[in-house]
Amino acid sequence: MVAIIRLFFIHFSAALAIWLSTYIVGLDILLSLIYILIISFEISSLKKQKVPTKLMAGTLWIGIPLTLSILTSLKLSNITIFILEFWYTPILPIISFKPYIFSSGFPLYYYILIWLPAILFIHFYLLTKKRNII
Amino acid sequence: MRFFRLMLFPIVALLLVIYIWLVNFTIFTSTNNISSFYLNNLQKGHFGFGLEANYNNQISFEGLEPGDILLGGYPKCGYGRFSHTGIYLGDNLVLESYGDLGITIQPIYHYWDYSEIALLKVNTTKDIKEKVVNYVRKYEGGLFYPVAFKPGDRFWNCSKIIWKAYLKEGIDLDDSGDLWTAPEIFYYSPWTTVIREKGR
Repeated sequence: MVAIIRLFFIHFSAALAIWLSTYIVGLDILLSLIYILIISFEISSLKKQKVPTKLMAGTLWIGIPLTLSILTSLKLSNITIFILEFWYTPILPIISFKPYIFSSGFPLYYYILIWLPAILFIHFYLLTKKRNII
Repeated sequence: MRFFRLMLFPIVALLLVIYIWLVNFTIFTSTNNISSFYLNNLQKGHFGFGLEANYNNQISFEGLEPGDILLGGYPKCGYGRFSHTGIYLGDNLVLESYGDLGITIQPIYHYWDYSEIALLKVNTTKDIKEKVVNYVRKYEGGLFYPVAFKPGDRFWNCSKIIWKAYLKEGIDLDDSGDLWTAPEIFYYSPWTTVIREKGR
């Protein structure tokens, strides 16, 4: 349980710090890269945990943004895209660059936000299986 | 190392809060800032975009020039009278921004949906307005972020793109010195004149 709390504590504190860092142009990109590194180490440390803890962490880590992605793509409310953006604030600096590409009227960043749970799943799976690169 | 991983971002966040507070000391110590304005509205029960619906205001868009500004809002909007803004591009098109569409070009007619609507003329030359229109067009597809600070050109909201484009031409539509800008501010800017409005 402590491992899961740690994971989300790092994520939310990073979201706050990286949002604030957008005030200083460029610092957000640096912090975003550091976030990816730190969160990867943190997820990787979950492999020492018991299977139920790993499953619970994975379900929450991927399930929350997946739910938001589904609600956003169903266009049930225009609030969900804002929540999704706040959720992904730690990695937004990385997808904020030009060139801006469109498809069916939507910008590339929208598709990235919608499909990010799939990438999170692969990332989480690779880092928590018994042998991995970190 | 585990402690470092846990505490790095809270410490960075705290340092940034202190830095931003010190740099904007006069704004934070005044009650005349956007954050206070939004909080006051929240206390009145005015939240988000307010009561969204099609109010069919049927305002005439005649007299708008490329580079002029449109403002729209709904009753009980948390951001003041207006929650949204766009810049007129000509040919009945407006450049504006939304969470899902980013910075986008849309037909002007959806501004008929708002209960509160104002068309603003920016008091400058056609040449400057043309430069502003060319500037904003370059950012079509840019990332929308609701609480985008004024500095930087990678995070945008509907007001920031317009404010930044005019600022580049030496026209500050928001001289409040606040951390971010908002549609309502354009309405009171000395650089703008109301062409036509409906609502309140």
